[in-house]
Amino acid sequence: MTPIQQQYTRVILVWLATLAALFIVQQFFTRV
Amino acid sequence: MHAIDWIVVAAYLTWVLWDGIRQARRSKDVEGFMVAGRSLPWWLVGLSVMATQLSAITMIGTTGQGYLSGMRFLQYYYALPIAMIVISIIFVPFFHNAKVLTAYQYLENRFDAKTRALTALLFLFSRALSTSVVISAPAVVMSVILGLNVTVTCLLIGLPTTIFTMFGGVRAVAYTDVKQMVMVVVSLVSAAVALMWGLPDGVGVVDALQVAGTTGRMQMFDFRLDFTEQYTFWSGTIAALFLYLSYFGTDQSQVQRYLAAKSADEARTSLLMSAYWKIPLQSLVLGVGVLTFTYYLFAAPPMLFNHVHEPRVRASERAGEYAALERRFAEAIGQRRTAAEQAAAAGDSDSGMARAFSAAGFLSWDEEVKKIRAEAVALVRQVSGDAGYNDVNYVFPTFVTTHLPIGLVGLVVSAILVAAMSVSSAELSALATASVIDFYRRFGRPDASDAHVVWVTRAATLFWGLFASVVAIWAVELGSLIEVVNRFGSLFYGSILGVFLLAIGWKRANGHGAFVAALVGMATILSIATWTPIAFLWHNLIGAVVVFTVGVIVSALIPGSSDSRLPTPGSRGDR
Repeated sequence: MTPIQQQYTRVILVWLATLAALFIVQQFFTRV
Repeated sequence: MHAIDWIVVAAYLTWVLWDGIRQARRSKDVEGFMVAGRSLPWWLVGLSVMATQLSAITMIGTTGQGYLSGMRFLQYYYALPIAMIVISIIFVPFFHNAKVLTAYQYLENRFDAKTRALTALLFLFSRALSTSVVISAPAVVMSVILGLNVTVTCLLIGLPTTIFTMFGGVRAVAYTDVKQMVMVVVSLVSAAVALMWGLPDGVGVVDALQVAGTTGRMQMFDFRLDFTEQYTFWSGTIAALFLYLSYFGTDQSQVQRYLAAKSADEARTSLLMSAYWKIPLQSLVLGVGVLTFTYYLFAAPPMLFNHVHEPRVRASERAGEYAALERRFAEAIGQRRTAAEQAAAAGDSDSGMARAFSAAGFLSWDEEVKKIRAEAVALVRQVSGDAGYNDVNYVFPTFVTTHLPIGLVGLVVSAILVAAMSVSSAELSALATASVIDFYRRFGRPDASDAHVVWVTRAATLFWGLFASVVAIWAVELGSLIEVVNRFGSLFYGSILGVFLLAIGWKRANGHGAFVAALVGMATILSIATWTPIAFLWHNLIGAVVVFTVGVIVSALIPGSSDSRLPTPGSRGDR
């Protein structure tokens, strides 16, 4: 992979991790 | 506001103005003025691109939205990282190889002059009005908060912006953006700390956010597939992708910034900076809104945050009704506070039943508070005749000016003003560049010297700056009318994206095909927006798909003008 392709891969991984983290935060704070 | 805060504001605005004007010495030729000599480092371009999306409206409007409806607006940004990757792969190499000064210039090289003129005209039309809104929306709020005349606040934002953009060009825009980013982030973090600090003893941040969670304010994912709902996971990831592709890929106010990067690789890296940071930053903005809500659960909030019509209401024959609402509000707030304390205490309980019971008690009082506020807003609207009256944008500035320590208030107020200035300066620079490069130099004086073009661009910046400031002052009077016209302009984002996708993605597309397709796309979106309840974000996707499809068909049927001096798919990019 070229350096820029590695950057794209990193962005996608960080994006997925961010969404997963936000989902966990949502579930934690909306449980009643 | 305290005198020290005023000094902070004055010192900061003076520094922004002086530093912007100082950039004039490196902005003497066309390339230097419009794209900073294509010499800016990736971090500067990246911060600048991010700053443009953190306007004053974000600071006051989005925090207000967080206060009223919570984090759900965050879904609007979920597609942004993917859009940045697509733009880095598709758009950046084309613009950089073409060495253009405006995005629309590329369309003439690829198609013809009329397609370039149409897209550039659409840009000028929509951006000119949105620049006025960028100035007028915070100016109105700050005039109420600071007790200044709204004309003064419009000019306080508009005039210095016009002056430093006129002298410093895109380099001044970029450096102002950096100052803005630092100030906005420092302000938001300080406000978040103050809000958490302000919670009563015995109520932790987690407890408070759990109470906010019972009202749905911590919802960040809505998986319903409902095309009429504005913010869902699907509109935020699929439809918003097309909005971002259009905004960052084809809008001159964004493209101009990454055209200023040293190389295509640096431009890509700068865009990927937004891909990493946009969602966390927006979470911070909305989070401050939610924290403001939790803060006011335990400290009495005003019934309405916008006091602009209060004297008139109190002097009217319905003053008694208003006072009665205030009494009901005070009672409901007291009850809600007690219920919130119980819900916060029950948050640690292992018993689901106890948590549900206390949450239900809290929610019923929260509903009552909402109902009274809605009645008060309706009353103020009726008495004042101001149908657009609202107080969403006043929540955060009210907290800042009444609860933050001296000095910090000045810092946050400066951040709001500079955010309005830096975003409008980017737009002024783009408006001036597009009007001179795509119209004046293209149709008027193609042989004009560099010095002449820079001089005319400075004059165009002055013109657009005065235009935006004057319309901003009028916008206060006209209110919703300007907003309607502004929305009308933003309807065509998808269609413009469709034209660019056709240029880059369909080798056999020609000028007639692109032009006809753009008009058909715009008519389609106008009809959809008028006669269907489909939410705004989906218009971008529909517009782009319609234009691309119609463009392919018309180009096949009508042989037309296509001057492919620029690379298209299949070519090596060196013609």
